[in-house]
This record gives sequence, structure tokens and C-alpha cells, in this order.
Amino acid sequence: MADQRASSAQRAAGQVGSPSGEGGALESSRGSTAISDAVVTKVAGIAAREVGGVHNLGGGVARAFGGMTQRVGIGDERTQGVSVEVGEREAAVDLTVVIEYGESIPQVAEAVRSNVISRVEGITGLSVTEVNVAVNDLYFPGDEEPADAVTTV
Amino acid sequence: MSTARPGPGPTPLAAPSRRAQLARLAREAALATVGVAGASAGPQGRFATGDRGEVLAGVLATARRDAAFDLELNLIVSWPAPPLHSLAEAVRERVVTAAGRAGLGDVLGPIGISFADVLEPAGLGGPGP
Repeated sequence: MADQRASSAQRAAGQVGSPSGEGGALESSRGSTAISDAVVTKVAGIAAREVGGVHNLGGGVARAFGGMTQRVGIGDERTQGVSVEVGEREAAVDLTVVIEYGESIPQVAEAVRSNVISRVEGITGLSVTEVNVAVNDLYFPGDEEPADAVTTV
Repeated sequence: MSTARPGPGPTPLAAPSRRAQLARLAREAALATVGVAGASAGPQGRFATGDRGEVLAGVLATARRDAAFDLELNLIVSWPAPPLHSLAEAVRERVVTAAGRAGLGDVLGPIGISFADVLEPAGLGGPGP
């Protein structure tokens, strides 16, 4: 199941996405300001999680691997399922989300898109050209993820 | 009769260089700015300045030809994050003021600021119950 609205034509055209690891640079007379991709990734991840109906981010493998890396202290659940491409003035965001059963997927996807754009643009000053939302799974209340079951032992 | 001469004794700590003074005050000014949660030396320790055996993480002061120093700060932002370009200007303002008070305003060059990460309180943003 996927709700992917915007095309990746802009990326192909090179308008977005420098693989430098640092985007959002702004020069002023008193010095330059740079915002790392990690900041944009984290802001987008937090913004997606703020939306009601979103249970988690990341695909099944990413969540399982993320749970493992978090237990040894090297992972961050807030960045799993989030991929960003950041240019000088623009950013594109890809999200993989798990939505709670019973929610309207198009509405939740639209709310995620709107909140991610609002947060990323407000905080970083970058213009968000696209937010692609892939709905990877549904969460049923009462479902326990294997990672949770292990940590309660 | 012998004349007692004072021994060498402990060597007094040398005064900090202007570069180290500037780096320290810039780091302190940045950390005192609302919205800044910390400073990081970065993955390769690029943003760090030595001061008499101490490492000031998150700030790099580099000498210029005109005897001034470029400053680079690598900062971690708290959540909820403010608009980062405004935050960068607020940090610069504080650094300029602090350098002026310390009599180092004449050696203060451009202040580069990079935001490396976002720090949020534990539990925020996690998956729902």
C-alpha cells in the first residue's frame, strides 16, 4: 500500500538533493549557517509522529533492525523510515509509516505531508518540494511487536 | 655558608591564548542561548579547540592573515526547535556581545554556525501505546 503523490522528476532534474550531508546553507555578512541532513531527517520524523493515526515509522525490517540498534545504544527510532534529500534551498522527504487500523489512509497521509512541510519549512527555512508517504503496514490495537515482547522479559 | 635557592616549583599555568579565549567565550555564549542544547565536536572531531590541555568541543577558532579569528560552532538544537536561521543570528549576537565585553571584539571574524542534530526529551515522538 502506498500513497505516493509527488513524482521524483525534480530529483532527476537535479533541483533537489546534494549528497554533501549538509544542506540549508545561508550566507550572511557575519558568517554562514548550515543545517545538517540529520537535523532535517529528525524534524521530519518527529513531525510525522505528531500526527494522529501514525503508529510508527519504518518498514518491518527497519523496525526490527532499529529495535536492535536502539538496545545497544546506536540507533534512533526517530530517524528510521525517514529519508531526506537536502539541497541549498529545497528538501524532499520520503517516509515509510505504519498506520493504525481504522484510520483513513489518504487523510492521515495528507496530514503527515502537511505537518512535515510545516515543521521542516518553519524550522529550517528550506522549501519542501515533495513528501512521499509509503504506508507499509497497519497496526491493530493489541498487536505486540516482537521487540516489545523481548524488552519486557 | 650556603645560600638556599628556591626550587623550580610547579609551573604556573600559562595564560590562555586569544584564540582559546575567543573559542571559550563563543562556546559559552552559544550554550547560553535558548534553543541550543549542546555543542558537538562532530564525527571526526573537526569542531574542537585546545586550551592548555582542555578540549573545547563544538567550537573551532582559526587564525586569519589579518590577526583575527574565524569561528565555527557545531551545535545541537533542543526540541521544540526554533527557526534555525533566527537561532543562528541570536547566537552570533551573543558571541559578538561577549567578545566585545572581553575586549576581543577586534579579533572576532565571521562566525559560521552548523546545526548538527536535534535533542529532544526522552519519550517524545515515540510510537503511540
